Amino acid sequence: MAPPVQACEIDSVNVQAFLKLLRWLENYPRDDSGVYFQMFGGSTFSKTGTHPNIVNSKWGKSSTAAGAYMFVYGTWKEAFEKGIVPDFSPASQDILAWWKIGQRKAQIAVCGGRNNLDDAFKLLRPEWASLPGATQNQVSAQDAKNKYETYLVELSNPAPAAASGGKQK
Amino acid sequence: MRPQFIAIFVALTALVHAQTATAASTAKTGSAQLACGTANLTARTTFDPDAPPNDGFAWISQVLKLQPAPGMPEKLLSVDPAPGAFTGGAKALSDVVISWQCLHGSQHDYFLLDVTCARDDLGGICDGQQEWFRILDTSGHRPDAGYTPQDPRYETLYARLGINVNGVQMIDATGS
Repeated sequence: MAPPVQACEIDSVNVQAFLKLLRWLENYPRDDSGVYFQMFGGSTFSKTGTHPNIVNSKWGKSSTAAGAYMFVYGTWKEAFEKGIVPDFSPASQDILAWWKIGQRKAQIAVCGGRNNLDDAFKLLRPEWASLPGATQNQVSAQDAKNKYETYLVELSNPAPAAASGGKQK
Repeated sequence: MRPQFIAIFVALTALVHAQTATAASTAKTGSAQLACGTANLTARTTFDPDAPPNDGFAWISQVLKLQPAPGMPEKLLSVDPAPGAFTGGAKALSDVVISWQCLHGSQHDYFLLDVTCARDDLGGICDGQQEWFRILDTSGHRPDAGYTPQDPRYETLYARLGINVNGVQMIDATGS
């Protein structure tokens, strides 16, 4: 019988690999650090003092979604008012993503790593429609798992000059 | 009533009042207003960043009022009725107008309202959407009445009204 999954912190490899998987799915097929400055529809923003809160329309939909995890303004506003994040910097976007994962009661599944990915996908589909099985997914569950494995290896053995995503607190 | 029952009743009443006071103590209220043509739209919004039962964030109430022109009476607006949903001991809105902007159409001015889904886990009208937009003219009429959140007819409606929402910088409507 497998041991119970332990809670973990945002800087654990399993969490970092999952966050990078989310960034890849939300900005498919990109996963570079530039995705922290993307907005819905493809345009970009540069000021990170607050969420950009700019409406973008594409594919018959309008949205203020922005950043690596495509958070709408209302999501950021709640986290800001609650003191979870002070701004919309890459580091704050990562923290906000981890907080939303917690709100969806999926932190344990994410901490559990590869054996718990299906549980994490299921719990987080209402938050991220790009996850396998969600309404706007482009990637199969198996492809997402393969990508996750790639990120696990990459983050466990970081290259000295490798570009990283957002800084972690 | 026996004295010990009275004592218990008084103690329980005090406990309920204390809990209510504690729950209300973290709530904040903000006001915002937006002028558009001759009209003025105001919002008074209350939220609790540490709402029970799990210290979660909750939008508690929002009152939207429109004054179509100076000197005219204010209208109380109902944009996407947000039925209260009980979350633990607190009542929370399922959605709230989070930001807004004034748009100049080909014939008239319009308020663009960004509605955010606050509690998709408790039902309400979110319908799988995290946010959606509503249009209001300066007299309080809704050209998009009957449209669902992110309704595909919006594109045609925007064109007919002569407005373009793409790239619009929204303004916070919660006043906090």
